[in-house]
Amino acid sequence: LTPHAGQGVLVVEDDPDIQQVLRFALEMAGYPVTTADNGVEALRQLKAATPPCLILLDLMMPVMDGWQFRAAQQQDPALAAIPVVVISADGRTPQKAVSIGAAGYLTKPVDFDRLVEVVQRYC
Amino acid sequence: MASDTTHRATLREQLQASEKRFRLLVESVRDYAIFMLDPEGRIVSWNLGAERIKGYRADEIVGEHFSRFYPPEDVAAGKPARGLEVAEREGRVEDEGWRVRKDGSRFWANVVITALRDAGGRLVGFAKVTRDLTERKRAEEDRLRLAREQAARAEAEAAVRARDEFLSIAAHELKTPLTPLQLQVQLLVHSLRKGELTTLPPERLGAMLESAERQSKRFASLIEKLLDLSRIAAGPRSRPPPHPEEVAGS
Repeated sequence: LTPHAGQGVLVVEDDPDIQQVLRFALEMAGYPVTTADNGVEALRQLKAATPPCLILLDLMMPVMDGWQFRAAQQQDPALAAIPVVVISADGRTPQKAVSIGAAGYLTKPVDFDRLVEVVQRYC
Repeated sequence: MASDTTHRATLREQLQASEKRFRLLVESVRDYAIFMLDPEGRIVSWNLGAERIKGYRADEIVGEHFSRFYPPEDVAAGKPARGLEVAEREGRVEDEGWRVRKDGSRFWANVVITALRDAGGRLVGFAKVTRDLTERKRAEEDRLRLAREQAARAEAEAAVRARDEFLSIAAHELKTPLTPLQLQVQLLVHSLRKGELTTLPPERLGAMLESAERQSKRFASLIEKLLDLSRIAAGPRSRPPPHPEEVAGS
């Protein structure tokens, strides 16, 4: 796997262990990674830095959940175009991904090869 | 004088005609058993409704005691006599309960017993009016049974919904530690296959293994909690039997 320069992946996930392993996995696949614990932090990072090529978004999070984050993102013209892939353990993840207009979804537990495959489409 | 006699005869005829009409009215009523009892409770008159509801013809029942319409347990409890006592004391008594037909079958009856007194206030007997409310009673029972069944069904459905919701939450909770655990193992396998396991920074390898250990403990603790919950839900009877050593030691 070759390193990908420039744009990275933003992982929005409240569980520190999941956040860490997603970072390791994506970094091993050659992608720069930034992380946020909730929607508020994610919006702050998006406004401050170069936009990522993809946002991996957990839905159930404290402070600001995935739905609220997505609504705020879509209202901001500078951020609206960044593709979002929902990552959730919910049995209705596909329907929920469609309902917030996400580009795709990953169900927990996430398979490494599938993760890389999905990220490759956008980054 | 002649006209006075004629007048009296006319009055008597009118009275007889009125009595006849009244008897015809009572005798013809089919939906109510209307009959009279003497002061001791023996039947002295009978109508079509009584025959239809109770199954006896007038010639079979007149002279019999009215307690034969009551189920044996009510007779043993003194209910017929008590009915007459109350009617005599208070003027009337109303009751609903099971009564027995000639063929032994039971019907649900509404019964009104009214004390009859002459002009001097002396008790001359009782009027008894009985309605057969079996159909209404059955309909009411059906309605109650239906309501009970619906309530039971709703309860069962709620239990199934609660179970599904619980399973969904439990599955979600179990997937939480499984997500990093699976990915960590896959990353290690991936590195091993590519010959990169030894080139992984030691602190990163350490962080992954520590996290993996943490997740497996989290997983085990969740399973314990699930088992505790199922034990609580099953109640105290499902407590596991004591360990043989505990028994031996005691």
